[in-house]
Order: sequence, then C-alpha cells, then structure tokens
Amino acid sequence: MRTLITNVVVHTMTSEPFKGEVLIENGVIKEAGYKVKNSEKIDETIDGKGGMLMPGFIDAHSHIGLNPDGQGYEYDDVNEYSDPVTSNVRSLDGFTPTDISIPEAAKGGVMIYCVLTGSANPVGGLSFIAKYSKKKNVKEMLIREDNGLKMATGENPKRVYSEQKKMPVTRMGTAAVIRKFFFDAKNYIEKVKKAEKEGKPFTEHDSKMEAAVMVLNKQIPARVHCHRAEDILTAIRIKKEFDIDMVIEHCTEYIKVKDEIKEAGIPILLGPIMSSRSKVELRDMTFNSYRVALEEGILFGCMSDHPVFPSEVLRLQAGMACNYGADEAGMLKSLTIMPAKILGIDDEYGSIEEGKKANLCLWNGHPFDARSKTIWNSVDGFLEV
Amino acid sequence: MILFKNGKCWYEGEFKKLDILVQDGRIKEIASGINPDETMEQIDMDQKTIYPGFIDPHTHVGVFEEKAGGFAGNDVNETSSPVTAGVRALDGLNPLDPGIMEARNAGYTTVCVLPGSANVIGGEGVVIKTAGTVADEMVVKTPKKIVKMAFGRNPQWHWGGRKTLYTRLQVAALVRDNLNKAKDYMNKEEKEYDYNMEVLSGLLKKESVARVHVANLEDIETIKRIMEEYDILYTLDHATALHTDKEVAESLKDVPVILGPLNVAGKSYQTYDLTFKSVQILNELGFKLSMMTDAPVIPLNYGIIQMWLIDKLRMDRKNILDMFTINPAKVLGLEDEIGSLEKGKYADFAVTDGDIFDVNTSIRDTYIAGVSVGGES
Amino acid sequence: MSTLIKNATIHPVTSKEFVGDLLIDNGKIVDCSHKIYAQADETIDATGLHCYPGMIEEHCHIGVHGEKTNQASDNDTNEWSDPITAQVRALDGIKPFDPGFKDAIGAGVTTLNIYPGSANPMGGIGVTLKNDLTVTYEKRIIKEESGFKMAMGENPKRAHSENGKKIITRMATAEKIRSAFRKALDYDKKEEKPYDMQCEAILKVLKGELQAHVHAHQADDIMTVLRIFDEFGIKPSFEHTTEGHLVADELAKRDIKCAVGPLFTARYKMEVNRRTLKTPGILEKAGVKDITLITDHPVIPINNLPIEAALACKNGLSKEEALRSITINPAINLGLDDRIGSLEIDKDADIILTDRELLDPTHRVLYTFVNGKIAYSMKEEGLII
Repeated sequence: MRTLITNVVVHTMTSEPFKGEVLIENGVIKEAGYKVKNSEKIDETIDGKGGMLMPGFIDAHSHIGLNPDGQGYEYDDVNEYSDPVTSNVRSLDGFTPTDISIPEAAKGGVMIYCVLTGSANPVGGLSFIAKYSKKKNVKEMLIREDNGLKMATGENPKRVYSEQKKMPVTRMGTAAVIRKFFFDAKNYIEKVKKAEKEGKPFTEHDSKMEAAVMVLNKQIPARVHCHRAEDILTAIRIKKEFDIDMVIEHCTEYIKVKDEIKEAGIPILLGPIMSSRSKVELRDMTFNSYRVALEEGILFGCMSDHPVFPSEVLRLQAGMACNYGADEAGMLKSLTIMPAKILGIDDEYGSIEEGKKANLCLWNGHPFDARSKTIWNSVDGFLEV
Repeated sequence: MILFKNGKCWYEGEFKKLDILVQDGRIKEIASGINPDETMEQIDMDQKTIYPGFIDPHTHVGVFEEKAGGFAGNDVNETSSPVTAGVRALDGLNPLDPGIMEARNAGYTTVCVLPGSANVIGGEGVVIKTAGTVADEMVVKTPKKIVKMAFGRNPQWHWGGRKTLYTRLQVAALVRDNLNKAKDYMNKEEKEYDYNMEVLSGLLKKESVARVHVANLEDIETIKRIMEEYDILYTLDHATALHTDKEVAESLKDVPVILGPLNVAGKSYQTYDLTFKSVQILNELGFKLSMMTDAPVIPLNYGIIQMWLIDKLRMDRKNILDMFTINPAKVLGLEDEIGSLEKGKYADFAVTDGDIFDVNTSIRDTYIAGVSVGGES
Repeated sequence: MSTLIKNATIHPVTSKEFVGDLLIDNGKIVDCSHKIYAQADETIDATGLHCYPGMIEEHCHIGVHGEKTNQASDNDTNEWSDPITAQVRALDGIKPFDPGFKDAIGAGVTTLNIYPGSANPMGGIGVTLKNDLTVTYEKRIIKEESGFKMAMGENPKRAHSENGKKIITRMATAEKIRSAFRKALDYDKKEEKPYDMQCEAILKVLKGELQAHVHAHQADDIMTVLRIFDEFGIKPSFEHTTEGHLVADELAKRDIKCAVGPLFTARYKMEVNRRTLKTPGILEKAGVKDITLITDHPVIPINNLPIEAALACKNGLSKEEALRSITINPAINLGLDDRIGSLEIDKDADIILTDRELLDPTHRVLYTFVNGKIAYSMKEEGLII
C-alpha cells in the first residue's frame, strides 16, 4: 500500500516547513520532499489542497479513557485512593477505549497520548502510551506499556491523606513516603540478589517493588506531578539522591526554578495552563512558562491533563502561548517531537521523516487557529477520518 | 488632693516640667509651680516622666482570659448564631484576668473590650479601666454604645462549615436583613421587647457606634456601602488593607481607623497586606490613627513593642504617642475624660523613669483616677 | 569582590566593641581592626553606624508554615499522621519563595534554622539555611540535617488525641519516645537489616551524630526528657524552655543547651502560664551556657528577635549574653560557630549595619550582608518592618 499526499505544506518538525509531497508505504513514511522521487505504483493519491501536513500531536500527560467524559463514579478510575503507594496499579487496566473524548481528541489532531494515573498518591501507578484507533480496543491502541511511574507532590496527596489521617499530611511527609518507597526497593533488590546467590527460589515477589526497581534501574522514568517551586526542588533532590530518570509534570512554577531544572537536565511537561487557578498551588500559573522554556532551550511538552483541559483543544493552549510571546514553530514542536522524545518514542513518532510511522494530520488552516480543522488523519498510515 | 510635683509631663505635644493637682480622681490643675498646702498629699515626680495613661480601643481582655488554658476562660465569641447583637462583653468579663493586671502594669489605664469577630454582629462592647475586682465598677460610660460587627473572611471562615453562612455575600445580607428588621421593629406600634432589635435600633438612631472588624479592601468598600445606606456611625477596626488604595482611603477620611495588631507574622489571606508602613501612609493622608493590640492576640504588656516598631518609620513621635492616647480616646467618645494630661480629665497616668521609646525605661507606676494601681515590678 | 566597611562601631560579639573598619573579601571577613588601609572594590562609609554579625534564628518555621496564603494547603509544619515521623525533613517542605524569608533578611537575620513543628514526639529533621535570597534554594543550605526535632507536653497530646487517639497523656508521649529509641537500637543490632529511614534517623541521635532539640515548656516535661535521655546515655538540647528558670540549676549542672522563647505570646496554653522575661537571666546566673533566644516565627515575627534580647537584658540577662543569645550562641547550639555568629577573621561575612544599637528596638537595619554580598539594602528596597 503506497499513498501519496500532494499539494501540502509539510511541517516536519525537524526542518523548515516546505511545500511538497509525502509518500507513505505500508504505514511508514517513505519520502518527503518538494517532489517525491519514487512516484511509481501509487495506490492512492490525496490532494492536500494547500493544507498543512503535520505529525499527529502527542499529549504526553493525559487521563483520557480513565475517567470518560459524562460518566459517573463507575467510570472514574484515575486515582487509587486506598494507599499512598500504589505502584502496583497500571492505568492500562482501567482504560476505557470507548471514551467519547478519544475521537474528539483525534479531531483536534491529538493522535497519541500517554495515559497516567492521577495525583492523589505520592506514588501512583504505571502509565502507558496509546495511539488513536477506530477499533476501540486497547490492543490496537497500545504503543508502549509501563513507560513511566506516576508520582505526586504538593497539595493533592496532602489533601487526600489528611482526610484519611495517614502519612502524608505535609510536603515533608510526601517526600518521606517517596524516599521510603525507593529505600524499600533497594532492600528488595538486596533480597532478590541474596536468593540468587544462595541458589534459592525467590518467593517474596512484590509488584509494588518491581515497579520501583524499574525506576531505580532507569528502565522507566518517574513522572512526578509538581506545581510549586518547592515541590519541583524536592523532586530534583530525590532524583539526585537515587540517581533516577525523571519527568516533571505540570511544573506550574517553572519560571521560578528554571535554572535548577536546566542544571538537572530534567524534561518537563507544562500544562494545563488554559484552566482556572482552582487550587492554591496554581496561584502563579502563567502562559509565560512556555515562552521561557523555549528561550531556555529545554526539552518540554505542552500537555492537557485531560479531562482537566480537553485534549481536543490542546492546540489552542499552545496557540495561547504564542499570544504570550512563545515562538510558533517551537510550540508546534512542544506538541510533537519534544513530547515524543520525552516519552522515548521519537524513533517512530513525532516528526515527518523517512522511516517514521505515518502518524499525520492534514489541517485546512493553522492548528493554533480555533476555526481550523483536520481534514485527514492517519495513524501508522491507516486512514482514520 | 494629691499634688504630683515637678514631673516631666507629656503635655500638649511636648515635655514640660509641671505639677499636677488631682482632686476626686480628676486633674484639678496642671501648671508649673503650684503651691502646696497642708490639704495636699505631695508625690515627688522629679526624676519621673508622666504620660497620660495608654488606651487600647480594641481588646478582648477579660473575655478571652490568659492562663486559663483555652476553653475555660474563653467567652469571646458567642458562636451559637452569627447574629448575637444582644450579648454584652461586660457579662463575660472577668476582672481578674491576668491580662488586665499586666495591662495596668504596662501603663494601659483604659481599654475597650469587644466581643470577638466570628459573628457578623457580635454584641455590645464595653470600656473599662484596667483596675478593679468588680467589672461594673471598672466601666467607663461612653456617650454612645458600642456594637461589634465583623465583615469578610472571619465570619466566613468561622461559619463556613456550619451551614449558616458560606460566603461574604451572606455576611452582607445578614447585616441588611437584621437592620431592616430593626427598622420595622422601630416602627411597630405594639412590640414585644427584643434585645437584639433594641441594640440594632440603637445603631439606626445613631445612639450606638458600629465597631467593624475588617481586613481586606473589598470588604472595607462593602462596609462603606452598607453603612452609608443605613446612615450608621462606624469605625474600621484592623483595616489591614486600607493603605493599599489611597482613593478608597481618602473617601473614608471621616471614619475612625484603628490599626493593628501589626506585630504579628502574616499568616492568612486576611493579613495579606499587613505592614507597619500602613501607619505612615495613612498618617500622611491625614488620618488620626489609633493602635490596637487585639489583646490577647498581642498581650497588652507587649503593646509597647508596636510603638517601638512604628518608631522605625521615623515619624514625629507626637503622632505615635497620639495613637496610644488621645486618638483612641476620641474613637471611644471619651476625649473629654481621658487621653491627655488636661484639666478636668481623669488622673490616669503612666509614670516612667525615662523616655517610653527607650527599651530600658520602666513603667514605675500606673495611676488610675489618681490612685496607684501597678507598674513594672 | 571585596567590600570595606569604614568607621563603624564594630560589635564583634565575642570581644569588646570598637570604632574601626571591616574588610570583606570573597565572602569572608578578612580583616577587622581599628584602621584598614587596604583598597576594596566597594567602600561603605559607616560613620555613626553599628556593625554586628548577622543574627541567627535557631528555631523558626519560615517556609514550612506557608504565609500570606491559604493555611491548609501551604502549611507543611506538622506531619501529624503518626507520633513518630523521625524520617521527615523540613528541607522537603520549605517554600523557598515564602515572604517570611524577606522579613528575616530585612530584620538582619542571616541564618535560619527551620524545624518541623511540635505535634509529634519525634517530628523530623531540621535544616539550616543561609538567608541569601539571591542564590537558589539548594545553595542556601549550610547544614542539611541540623537537628532532630522532638516535642513534649501539650502539643503532642492535643494533636494525637484528636488524630486517632495515639497519645492521650504525657505518659504516652514518653512511652512513644522510649519505644522509638529501643526499636532503633534493636534495628542497629540486627545482622541483616533492610534500610529503614526512620530507624536510621533515630540512630543518628542515639550515636550522637545528630543533636536532639526537644520542645519542652514545663519543668516536668524538661525533667522527663532528661530522665529518658539518661536512660539512653545521650544529651538533649531544649527548645522554648519556658519553665527553665525553675530547673535552672539542673540544666546548668548538666551543661544543657537551652533555646528560650518566644517570649511575647499570650499565655493561651497552660504550659506557658509561668512564662517570664526573667528566664534567660536566671538561666545565665545559674550557669547555663550559650543561651539562645528564638521567635518561633510565625508565632511571633522574626523581627522581634533583637527585641526579645533587649527585654531579656532589661530583665536580668547581661548585655553581653543578650547580644550573644541572637548571634554566636545559636551558632554554637547548631554547631556552626566556626563559620558564623561573630565578626572574626575567616568567618563568613554575614553582617548587618544598623543606625542605632541592635538592642534598641527602634533601630533600622540599613544593610544586610550574606556571604559578603549585600542581600538587603534599605535604600534600595525600602524599610522592612
């Protein structure tokens, strides 16, 4: 199956936009250029009518499918409140592919999402990455399982567990819970080693600890929900203490600690900023964060936190950032190649380059304009309108 | 008669070596070189400085007792309802509260005791002298009755969880509803006596003054709106944010403002704009400010620290002393009775061994109506 | 960068005051004498001014007790989820942009020791920060684990009788402390021990690596602490010490460090009913060394620290000790007297210039230097009261 898209402005995300063509073969981008060289045996040609062809957007922090829109308690699977440490739970196991928001997000150009557990627990659960599929089943949608371990600091864990009268009821407590989690994991590693050394079967498997070991071994990053500066600094401190990979989620007070974040080399996911300051820790929320992040040249993504801010209109949040002086091309990258890098899927997604998956959206106008819409979408080259 | 001989007196805004003659608790004469006769008991004040006794126009001493471990001595807020106009601070006042003793030892001779600020309409306040064992004998009658009210986040915060009042909208609505009821009450030809309504009628008839707890600017504006609507005499107590908007402040020039307590760390939304600079800003706008401790928030024996801290602003010290003496006397309508060393006024003195702004100065003696009642030991 | 302060009345605290010059270079005091002829990058004519070491607040909750904001969401003072939370650290709960830091620098307080609160018999670990707001938070830390906070008396009773009835009486507070110490000792003896954060923290105290600072008001609480600590062969240091004057001889005999204050609050708790301004003076006369005064900010504002010293002085404390109680004594108490607390050659250039004597409460702080840099200038930033 060879599809040729003609008459489009190609926004590759890795080079300057150009007017030209893109050839897709069996779901993979074969060629992109002013005129494709290998234009024989085309099964299908799509006339882009001068529209903009972009990689499908990647929403690296979303709860889509975990709390489907318009459903009640029975469908709310975002937070497992039963314990402050629930690294044994996986968002994949609560994912509802029939969530009405999923096709809406695709309409808004968001084709890939990382679905995380909520932020009630200092240690939440494992996340996964999915792509849009018409087939509405998890198997079709799944890109990567267990790609990160959600953690949370700040107000949310405090609020939830002070009601339950359990640790943590303060930020100090949250840090202690997370540290204990990693120390316990180190103890667990020792136990496993000891059993190995003694040639005995290991009979004390602990799925909470298995997740922690993955983080300590740098197989997956800790995905830490932080709004306030002090929470961000605490996360960085813990990263250094345990030598782990980390992504800071939300990062509302990014500007106040931009130097520390740059020095620590931690990628961040900024957002949602197009929402109200519903909590005290959101008081200093500002669109300027995007501009500053671009100026600083750090790796960041623009995220929705769906359903907090609907994934469908994620593009408008990026557009608003331009209103605050952020560079337009930079903001497009924060929806595509940069989150792909943060999620570790940039070998397949995030830009229009030869060999990458044909995760594409054709827009009839600029996506930052609310009136624009996608006129043709594809995931891995399969037509998905 | 008692003759206080040759003291360095804080008199008409400056220090003068004067003699003070006291008869029946009041100043009969204040002048230099009063000739003593045998009917006079003479007290040598040669090495002493005499200030008018200090006045705190907003405290809770006696109703919120110290050394009582909380609940037992706490009668400051009648939180059975957000409107308790009919309760009176005097009825909960324990004259033996150690806070009152320390007040007189620290040179405070007159304080106004108010109900707390949990309720929208808290009840009646009372002015007392700080010495005595029977509250009724300590009372100083004021020309106008005092009614405590509270606006803004204090009542909201207190009542929020109790299904009576959730928003500041309801705070204002409760005030209006009750004042409307009081109007109707006044106009009824046949009425059953209702103490709450009597108190509120007093406000409408200008026989009483509303003493309004307020912090934030938006609430100050709401108070102004309502008080003007009902034509009520009122004061702004705390008024933490008044200095932040000069235009609003200018429009409230005729309203007495009682600042404080300022020597506290900023802890909440209400105290967001708390700063000693408000003293300077409002003083420059021409306000005749008074200073409160809100005792026991700041115990009265540490009230003097606020005076020292205000002095860091390097304002005219006369203005600072006025905030602790004559200005609060005016707020209470007692400017002809207390607040300065003047003929005819009560012989309420704070006698020191030096300048009150010097930390090493001690209150050697406190006199109320010419009687020595305390001092720093 | 070198700065020369000329012709000030210099109060070294550890020796007699004199009129002279002080030279700062590279963050340190390099000379302090009657006349310095050296050239400096910057010269400040301090004629008529007083020069003191920056004050040290040995006990406050700035940053952990968030100010000027919603109390519940920003208050991280007490991890009250359990009576023993030895593993939590104030460091992880501090909001570095809290307005209290500015109040402190404006008042001339250059070093802050911040503890968790007193709800728990073992509340957690404190941190000492240089109050230099020009550098990032992590760089302000001068002692990451500055003291082990414990508490006796009313507060643990109140907190834990409300929260799960874990402590009802003072007897239970003592029992919790004993049990925690014993548990840590047992842990230490184990041949194989999975890392336990809580026991490790307590072990540091038992091994004398971390000083226990015990919140105690009443004399009986003080004596209970001494009884328990005797059993375990360690020495406490006291915070508040409200009835210290009643057991002054015992404290002197044992050479116990005492921090006294805050002295100006209402006596709203039974355990502070016998509080008096005379306590510091009585302790001094009994022979207690290195008496420290504290504000417990925000219990009373941090700018009251020199006023406490002045009033303690008026009530019997010698003038020399009054000055020491807010400078070198807290430095000794924290084990940092080799670096801070007095104007001596080779010490950190933490210096304040005032227009009147420090123990005159009407003084203004004109400059605050931290590590040789101007951290606050009244002329530039306006007066902070």
